[in-house]
Amino acid sequence: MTVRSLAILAVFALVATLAPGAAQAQAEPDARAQAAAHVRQGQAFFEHRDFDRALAEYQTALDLSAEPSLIFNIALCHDRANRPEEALRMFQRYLELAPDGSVAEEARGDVARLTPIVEKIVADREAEQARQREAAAQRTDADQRAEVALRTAAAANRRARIARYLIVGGGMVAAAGGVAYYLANQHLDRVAVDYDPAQYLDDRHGVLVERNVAYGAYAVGGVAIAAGLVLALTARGADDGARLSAAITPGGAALSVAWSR
Amino acid sequence: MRLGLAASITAASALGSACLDIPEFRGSTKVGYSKDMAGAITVATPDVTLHFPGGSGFHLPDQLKLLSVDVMGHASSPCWGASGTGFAVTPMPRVSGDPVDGGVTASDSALEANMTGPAVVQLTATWSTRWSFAAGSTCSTSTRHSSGGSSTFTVFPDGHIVRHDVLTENNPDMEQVMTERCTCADMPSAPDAFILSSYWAFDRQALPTLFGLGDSGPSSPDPLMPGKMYGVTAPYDTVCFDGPDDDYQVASTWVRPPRPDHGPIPNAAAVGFDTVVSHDVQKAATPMLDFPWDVHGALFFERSNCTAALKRAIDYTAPQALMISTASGTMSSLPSALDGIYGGDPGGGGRPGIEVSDGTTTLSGGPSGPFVVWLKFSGSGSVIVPTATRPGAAIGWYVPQRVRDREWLIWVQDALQPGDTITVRPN
Repeated sequence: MTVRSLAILAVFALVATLAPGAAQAQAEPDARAQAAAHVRQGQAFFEHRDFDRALAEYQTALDLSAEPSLIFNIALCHDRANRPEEALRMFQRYLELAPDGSVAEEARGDVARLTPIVEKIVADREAEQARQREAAAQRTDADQRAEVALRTAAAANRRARIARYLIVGGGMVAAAGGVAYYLANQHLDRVAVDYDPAQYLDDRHGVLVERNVAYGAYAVGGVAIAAGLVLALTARGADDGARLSAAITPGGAALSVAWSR
Repeated sequence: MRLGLAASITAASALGSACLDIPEFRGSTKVGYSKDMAGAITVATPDVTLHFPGGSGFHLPDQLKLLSVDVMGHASSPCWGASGTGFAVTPMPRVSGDPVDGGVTASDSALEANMTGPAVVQLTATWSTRWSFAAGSTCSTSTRHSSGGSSTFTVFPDGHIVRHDVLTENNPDMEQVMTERCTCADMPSAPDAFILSSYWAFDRQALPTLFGLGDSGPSSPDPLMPGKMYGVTAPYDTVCFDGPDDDYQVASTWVRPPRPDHGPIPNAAAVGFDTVVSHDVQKAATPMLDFPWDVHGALFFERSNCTAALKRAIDYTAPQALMISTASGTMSSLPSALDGIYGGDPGGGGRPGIEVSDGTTTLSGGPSGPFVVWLKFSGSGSVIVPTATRPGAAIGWYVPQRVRDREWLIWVQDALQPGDTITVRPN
């Protein structure tokens, strides 16, 4: 039996059921007539290989008539439209509704033909889905690692920035202390030759203030530099480098700290 | 490596810098003090320089320069001619820092600086020697018979020098010492007697004219003959030497030790080959020469006349009181005869210094010339430097000198006239 003959068969089945039922109900014949019309239209589309529109006509006819052979036609449309899963499901549906139908044997043959195809499709799909799930999972891990890396890098940058501020600021404070120390040292010469006690007391007080400012600045600056160094050394990445150098200067010792990022 | 040099910092100059020590107040130097490698010390004022020899010998002054002229006398004989500065136990050889000392050697000798200026310098020379010191001397043969002494010289900015001598004897074997056993002959004026003397020997050419204070006072001193011994009692133990052309004058006075057991003995104003100013005690030869000796005196230098020099000597022997007022009351103080400082060495092992509060102290009274007062401020902690105020005074009219933490000397340049006050505050 050909496809075409099967579609016609469905029309005949509908027309055949129309003739004896004309007196049974007024509404039902109209529906079946309409269904037949849709079947013919579907047939026409089918012949022109417009399977989707044919399927729509068959589906409408099926809704109007509940004729199982239309399910067979729908299955054929799916089959011809290369939708084996829908086709298989429709063939099986047809066989459930009309296991002894006129095209039951042919439907079974289609089921037998499509079953391994669909099984393969399902297997392939599941495999693809599994692969996609795994890929998605892998993407999630990478994203998380990337996010962590970004956060870590941001924190390191922040610490490095604070370290720079501490070292630069500490250096400036210490340098200010050096200036105060220099001034105090200069004023010492004056104190040493102050012959007037009152003047000596005044100058001594000035030197004391300058000296204490210097020592305080040294202490604050030194602590800030030390803290900055610790931060800089712990915050730097693999490519970062810190350089520390010291030298004797006329005023004492000079400490130079530099790093790159 | 990405270049992102954040900072290059010159941090410290602090890390290796030495501590910044503030020098203590030193003040304008009025009396200079210097010590050479051999331990010799030179004390200098603008007009007067006193030199103490170093080495292992006696550290008693061997040079006294007045306007760069060494006025000290130097003998060539070890026998009873005084030389330089020192002690004489005539007819035994003398103890002197002068190089020509007759072979006397010191068992121990030290020179200690008690004060090093800027206003007052005080040195103490201590020594000991055996009575058998002089080679060939037979005065004493016991090696355990020894004597020791100390001389403290306090030098002030106006050039006056206060001297305090102490002489002790150690004779555990009770050796008998007789003048006739001595190599040196007895002094003709004192047969069979030892003459103990603390002396300054002056050069006759540098100080050719001599005056005694006399009964008429400093305005009319009595001329004396240099090189001749005068057995004189007060006031003739205060004399004045006049330099050539009245360029400078030296007045000397000794204060008799308050011990009657050896006196009254004439104070020799001038003995021997040179003009000598000494404080002598003559002691007859006895089986045992045990004696106390604790005398003091002062030299004063002038560049006008002997009347002015003698007046200053009188001021030393009869000083005016300094009134010291604090929150707790007013007290009067006389300068110590042992060092010439108000509140100075009280003798007898007492502690010097006038106790005052740590508030304001007011000085008034009648010091008739430059003076020094030793103040001990109550309280705790160090006094950085005391300050003084005197109405109308110019800068430099006083110089504080630290003795120890809360003890300071205050040298004042000018006399305190009646009604004048000086206010002193510790700081």
